[in-house]
Formats: sequence, C-alpha cells, structure tokens
Amino acid sequence: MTAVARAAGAGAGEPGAVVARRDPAAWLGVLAGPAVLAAAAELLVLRTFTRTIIHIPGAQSASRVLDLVTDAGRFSYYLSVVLLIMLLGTLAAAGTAAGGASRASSSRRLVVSAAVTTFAATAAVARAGAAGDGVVASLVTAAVVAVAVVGAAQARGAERAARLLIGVAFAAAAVPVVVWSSGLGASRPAGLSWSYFTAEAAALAALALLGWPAVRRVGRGPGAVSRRVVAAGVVAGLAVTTILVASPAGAASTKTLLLWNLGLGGYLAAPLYGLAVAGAVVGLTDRFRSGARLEAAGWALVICGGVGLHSTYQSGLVVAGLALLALSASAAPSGRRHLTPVPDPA
Amino acid sequence: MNDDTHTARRPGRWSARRASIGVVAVAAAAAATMQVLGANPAASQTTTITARRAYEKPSLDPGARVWKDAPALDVQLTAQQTSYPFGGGTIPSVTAKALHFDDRLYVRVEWNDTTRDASIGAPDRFADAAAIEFPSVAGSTVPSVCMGQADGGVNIWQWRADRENPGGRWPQSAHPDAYVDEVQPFGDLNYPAKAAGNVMATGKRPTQDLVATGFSTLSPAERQTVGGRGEYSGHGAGGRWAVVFERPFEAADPMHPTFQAGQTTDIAFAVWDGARNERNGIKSVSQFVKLNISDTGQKKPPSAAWWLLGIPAAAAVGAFGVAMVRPSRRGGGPGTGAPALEAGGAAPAAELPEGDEG
Repeated sequence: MTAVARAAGAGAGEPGAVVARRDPAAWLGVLAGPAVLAAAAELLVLRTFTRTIIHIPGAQSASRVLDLVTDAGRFSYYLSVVLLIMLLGTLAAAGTAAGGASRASSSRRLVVSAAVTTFAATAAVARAGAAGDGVVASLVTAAVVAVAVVGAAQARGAERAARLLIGVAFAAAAVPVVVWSSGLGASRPAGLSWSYFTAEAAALAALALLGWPAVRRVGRGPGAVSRRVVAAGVVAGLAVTTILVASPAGAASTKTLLLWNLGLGGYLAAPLYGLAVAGAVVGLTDRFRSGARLEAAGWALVICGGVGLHSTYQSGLVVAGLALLALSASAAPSGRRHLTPVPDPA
Repeated sequence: MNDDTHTARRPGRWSARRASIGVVAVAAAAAATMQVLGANPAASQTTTITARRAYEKPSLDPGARVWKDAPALDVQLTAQQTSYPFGGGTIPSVTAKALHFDDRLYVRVEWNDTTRDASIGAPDRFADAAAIEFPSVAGSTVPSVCMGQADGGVNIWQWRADRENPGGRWPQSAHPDAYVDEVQPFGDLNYPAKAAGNVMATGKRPTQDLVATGFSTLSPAERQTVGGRGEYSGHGAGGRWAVVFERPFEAADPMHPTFQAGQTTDIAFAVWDGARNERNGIKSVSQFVKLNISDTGQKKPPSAAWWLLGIPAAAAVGAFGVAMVRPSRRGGGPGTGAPALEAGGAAPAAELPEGDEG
C-alpha cells in the first residue's frame, strides 16, 4: 500500500494516526479535512449567505450582525486560501514521492504533480499580472483536465465516469473565457452557447453518478449503505427541486446563486438539479462513512470550486480536489474500502 | 499513555490530531494577517477589458477614430431575474471598449437594437438606455452585481436616449396632433421634481451618476461627474446604439471609485430596449468582468501625411520593380528577367530578336 493510499484511509482526527513530518502523502490526510471545512464555510457564509441576505427586506437593519457575519465569511475565505496553498504544495510533493504500486501509477502521480505545479505557478503569475488572460485560462484548464483524466484512469465504473465528466464540465465552461481572452474570437458569444449546456449537463451527470455506487449497495451484504443515507439524499434533492420550481422569486435567486457560486446557469429541468444534489449527498456521505475520506474531501473541494473559470481560488479548489481523487488510488468501488489506520512502525 | 503523547515524543513523527491543530493554527494566523492587510493571493479569471492610454482625446463621440483601434470585448447579457420586476434579456450582448486619456476614463458600449426609442412622451413609451457599474472600492471582494451590498457599494453610470432628446419627453412627441393648453416654461412651482433637486429634472446631461448599497438604495450621487453621449446608426436589423461614458479618474463622491493607470477593477453592463417595454429591473444584465486600466499607450495609426508620402513612394518602388523584372527588348544582362538569370546573365542568341543580332 502506498503512502498516499494509507493517507487516504487515515482521517486527521483518527485516534492513533501518526504523521511523519517529512512524508508529504501523510500530510494530505491532515490538510484535506480543514481545507474542506474552510472552503465549505466560505461557500456557505461568504458566497451564499452574504449574497442572499441582501434580498431579504429589512435585513439591512441588522447591519452590525451582518458585518460580523460578512467578516467571518471573509476570514473563512482567507483561511481556505491559505489551506489551499498548503494543500497544493503537499499534493505536488506527494505526486513526486517515491513508492508507487507500478510504473504506470508512478507516471500518473508525476502527471498530477506536474499539473498541480503548473496550476500553482500559473495562479501566481496571474496574480502578479505577468501573463495574459488567455495563457492563464488555457493553462488552468489544461491542469484541471490533466488531473481529471489521471483521476479517471485510477478509477473505474461510475467513479471513472464521474471524474471524466467533471473534467468535461470544467473544460466546456472554460471554453468561452479561453476563446475570448486568447483573442481567438468566435464571432458572437451565442456561437459558444453549446459550451454552457455541455458544462451544465456534464456537471449534473457527474454529481448524480457520485451516489450511484452507494444506491446499488443499499442494505446488501458487507459494506451495505444505510437507507438513511439514501433518504437524506432524496430529501436534499426534493428540497432543491421544490425551491427551483415552487416560486419564480425562489427559482431566480437559486439560479443566480447557482451561477455565482458553482458556475451553473440553471438551464436544465429542475428535477435534474435535484437528482444531482441527491447523488452528491449520498456519494459524499457514503465515502466519508466508509473511510474513503480523501476521496470524499476531493469531491467536496471540487463541488466548492464549481465549474468554469471564475478565480484562481475556485479553480485551485477544483485542481486540489481532482488531484486528491487521483492520488487516493481508489481503484476499488466506492464504499468497499474501510478505514485503514496508518500502522505505527514502532 | 495515550497515542498522542506516545507519537508526539517520537522524533520526526506527530500525532495526526496534533498536526491538524498545528496546521489550522498556522493557517488561521496567516489568514488573519492577510485579511487585515487585504492581501488576496487569488486572481479573477473572468474576461478582461483593457483600457489603454488613448493617443488623442476620445471625446464623447462614439465614432471617434481612437475607438477603431481599441480592443473590444463582447460581454454576454441575460435577463435580470433577481429582483422584481423581472424580465428583459432581449439584448444578448454588448461590445465594450475602454480607453483613458488625461486622467479620464472613457467606456464605449455598443449593441444591436432594431429601433431607436428616444421618446417617453406617453405612459407606454420607454427609452433605450445603457448603464455600467463599478464597485465603489476596487477590493478583494466583488460586491453583488445587483446594486451592491451593505458592505460593498456600487457606482452606476446610466445613459438614457430620451435625455439626449429633450423634445421626446413632452406629450407632443407621442401625440403630435394633440392640443396643449399651456406649458409653463418658467418657475420651479410647476416642476416639483426640479424644485426638489432631482437630477433627472435638473441635470442637462444624458447620464446619471448613481450609487447603491443593495436593493432599494439606488440614489443619485451627491456630485454628478459622469458625461456621456449616445448615437444611433443604421436601421432595422442593422440598427446599433453606441454610447460613450466618461469620468475623471479622481472620485468626487465617497461612493465613487477612484481610477488610476495600472489598476484593475470590475465593470458590469446593463441595457434596456424601450421598444420591448424594458425599464427599471426589466433589462439585460451582465456579470462583472475585469477592467484593466493599462499603463501602455494605444498604438497611433499613421497620419494622413504619411499616406501622402507613402503612396507615391510605394508606387515608385513598384514601378522600379516592374522595370527590373520586365524582359528587356534589347537582350540579356541586367533587366533581361528570367531568361537572362537562367542563362547566367547571357540569353541564348537564338532567343534574341533577329534585328538585335550583332
């Protein structure tokens, strides 16, 4: 078992788990959890709450409280950025660490390391304003596609399809930005509308597929998935569908939040979004409960990042999430792996 | 002895829990420092409009020649669906350009519109309009594009076609055969909006300078410093509006952003099609895109004087070239063209005209 695979099974808070200071793979398990929590807090508080509260009449009267919540949201953003930088550095180092199961596996990890390093360097150059938007957009998209493809090669079945689809979704959503910022110049934006629909459909399909392996194992033998997990997903999916179809105001606000937060335009039928949310809830819960925590963290980061090119922060979440998936060596079907504490050599 | 204590004592190894706490503590300290300093290491990846320094004053003329060479960006628009009244979305995109000159920012917005609607002389008539929006402060967090938010205001520059056409605001413009008893041209008593200081009634500009910090907070800025002018060209399917906005870099209002060369801020667009009853929240809107106010200058096109010199010079060079490659009627040597070159400078005698032999 590789160091990364061991880290995949070792949650940071697991009793008895130890971290070798010089082993980057072991640090993935330490960093992934806090990074997910910070990114989720930033998504919920900064991106969602502060953008929703302004729609509520009279909410401005509690401006003192709102300011505090907004400051807390901003702090979660900065915390998430710092943890993301640390995670990207660790991922790049873990990809080059010795000890692969096979030559192919080592090569894939090197590709992940190269993609993460490319992304980090590109993001730094973009922040310094030292590269054109077209170059930055192209390199970031290439990095995301590379880690998605390597991750897909490491998985199989629905997991493989989901990883490929999320790469397709990101790339398709990035096409207009790449085209326009590179000066390649499609004559009119309408000529690129296919890319938004492709991104939307691929992202929803990827999320729906996340829950598929768990749904197939409901109440069946060892590693069976609790019906409560599936029920939670169904409830979440129904809630989103209801919000999207119940009222014009709710639908409009939800679509705006979808676009701002996750890069989804809300073009497709409401039940499809419900299905995607249900799949994501079931898939993430199942992975977390069955011990595939790096995989769960990877998907959570991808979801927090959204699809398309918005900022190097959000793209970084996607790169880190997909790299975690690629390095978690999860060839086994989701849910069949159970927590594997890192053995204490002493 | 618990595992934490056991592993923590071993050199080179930490307990995962202790490592997590340490990581979060270090990250939190770094995050707090960055928040205080406003040091955001992330960069926006949306598309960018680059405003170069113009080689001459753009003025408010949308047809000024400086705009021909300014980089353009097509910005997508969608219907406004966040706040009542919903709707719009009939204009799919605008073409935006920006320049700066003498510490003034110029933004040109152009879009297709099959009709020129510059009259609001009847209750069911609405004017074409366009607006651009900036965050009041270019910072690490972009405010809500929908009128900003409590801790992040926005500055909106709106141009309306009817304000360039004062006659179009009177009922006679909509009902030319109607009889008007009397129009009071003087005195604020008959013009309460004017008396109240409403910039819509008092201002002579076709533009309004507005500020907002959320829905229902939109109001005129204390000082109106935005200039603008629109021009409609073509007709029918080929009809287009082009509007130029301008404002000094320096802010005249606490809610106004300050601009400077080398700065990057955000800009969003909105367009109303009066013929489709678009007004208020019924409009086509974009998301924020980046506006880079560049230090670099716009490339100046060659002046007419250069053309006057250049065309005869090019003609002379062309004529000389033709003379050089044209086959000579007098035989080989320089100027004999391809046959002479193929023969090493001497054309075969058999190919020479008979009268030239000897």
